[in-house]
Amino acid sequence: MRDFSKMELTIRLSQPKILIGLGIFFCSFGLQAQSGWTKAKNEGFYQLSFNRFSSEDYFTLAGEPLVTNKFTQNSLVFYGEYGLTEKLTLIANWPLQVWNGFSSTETVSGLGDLRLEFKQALLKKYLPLSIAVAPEIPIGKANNFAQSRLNDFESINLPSGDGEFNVWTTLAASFSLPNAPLYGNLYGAYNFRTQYEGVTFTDQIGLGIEVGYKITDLIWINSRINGLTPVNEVLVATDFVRGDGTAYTSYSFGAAIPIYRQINLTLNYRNYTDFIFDRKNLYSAGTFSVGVFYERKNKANEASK
Amino acid sequence: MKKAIFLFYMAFLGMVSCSDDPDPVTIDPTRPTGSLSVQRSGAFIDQNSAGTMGNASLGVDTQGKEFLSFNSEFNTALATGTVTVYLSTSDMFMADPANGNPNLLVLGPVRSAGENFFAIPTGSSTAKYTHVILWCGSVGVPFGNARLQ
Repeated sequence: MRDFSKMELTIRLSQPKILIGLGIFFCSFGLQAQSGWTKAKNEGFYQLSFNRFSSEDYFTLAGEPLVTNKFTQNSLVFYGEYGLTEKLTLIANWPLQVWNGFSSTETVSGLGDLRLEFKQALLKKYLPLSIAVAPEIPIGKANNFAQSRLNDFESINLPSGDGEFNVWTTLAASFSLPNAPLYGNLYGAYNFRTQYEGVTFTDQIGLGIEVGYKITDLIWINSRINGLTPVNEVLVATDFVRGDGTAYTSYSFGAAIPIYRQINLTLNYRNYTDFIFDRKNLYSAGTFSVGVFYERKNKANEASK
Repeated sequence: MKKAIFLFYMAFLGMVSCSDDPDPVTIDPTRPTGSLSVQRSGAFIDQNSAGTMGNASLGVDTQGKEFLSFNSEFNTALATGTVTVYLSTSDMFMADPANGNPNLLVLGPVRSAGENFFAIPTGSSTAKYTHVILWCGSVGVPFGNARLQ
């Protein structure tokens, strides 16, 4: 049986914690891999990716489509995993820079919020199962006003961090086939949200499934479906840009292409639909991502490949 | 001589300090003087889940200056970006900047919930405008409108 847990099975493409309620802004959820596997001690995975998103199709809190001025978000994101022990992995997801702007405004940028995830293996061998607790530390720019290009008295807040401390808790299971380079992940997650400047946010539930396959014994490809919904329905916007009331179903396709030794190129495309949860308080369009990752493996694990 | 100068100085101080200065009257051009005589009014209709509520009234103050006012119940989504108040010839925001926006009259941004006043620019007639529109210009979406009748 090939031990796929010791291979890089998932293409980790992170997205800044930005859902603009008025679309996006803070949508950390969905592009990161959520799996039952953890890193072996001292093993690591480090990725830098660039993501581009542009849309004029906004879905209101009531789920109605609305054409607006075009919103564009670009981001440079660091994602890293490190095996603290054989069963505990530390994961960091940090948008190093996020650029936001409407077609009617200037573009503003800033640092995003840092998500630190502590992932503990519950089962490792036959059915890899993990639980992860991930506080999102609001060190990003919680207010960042973009001035209108049309006049001198209008502006809009396009923060690169949501200003709120929240904690994701994720339970994930994985499997791999013994005689084929195929794996799958299944997970459910709960986001405990707090408040920002007196505005409280509704908790969220996320779920997802992922399937990956290695083609020509060289390139890993994968596909994911993710869903996100608020625990309680949000009927009136308290703050559009911090993702309150945001719901969606997303699908994505990705590939990891070896470049040199442990260095790989990753490509990913993600878009939104209403398959599981209807789109609400969200800009909907494709996100294109390109990244490079380096994977550090222990020599014993490397040899077992 | 010194005594004369001292007496003159004290008399001068007495004249200055005893003068009956009236309290200055500050006229705030952004607020109506006296009560507003309402000519037309209407309730806001919420758009795009912005939480818009309250009433808008068009009226004239005791000085004959025209104002648009929002009552104390007024609210909308103010935390995200600038919301600008327009008078409009319909409930649709029909911008036509190339021709001077003939269907719109911009009154300025609204910054806070509750009572607000917007002075109608001097020389502008409000007769043709039938609606108030709350417009988020950066995004290009309405947050609400009120029909004035």
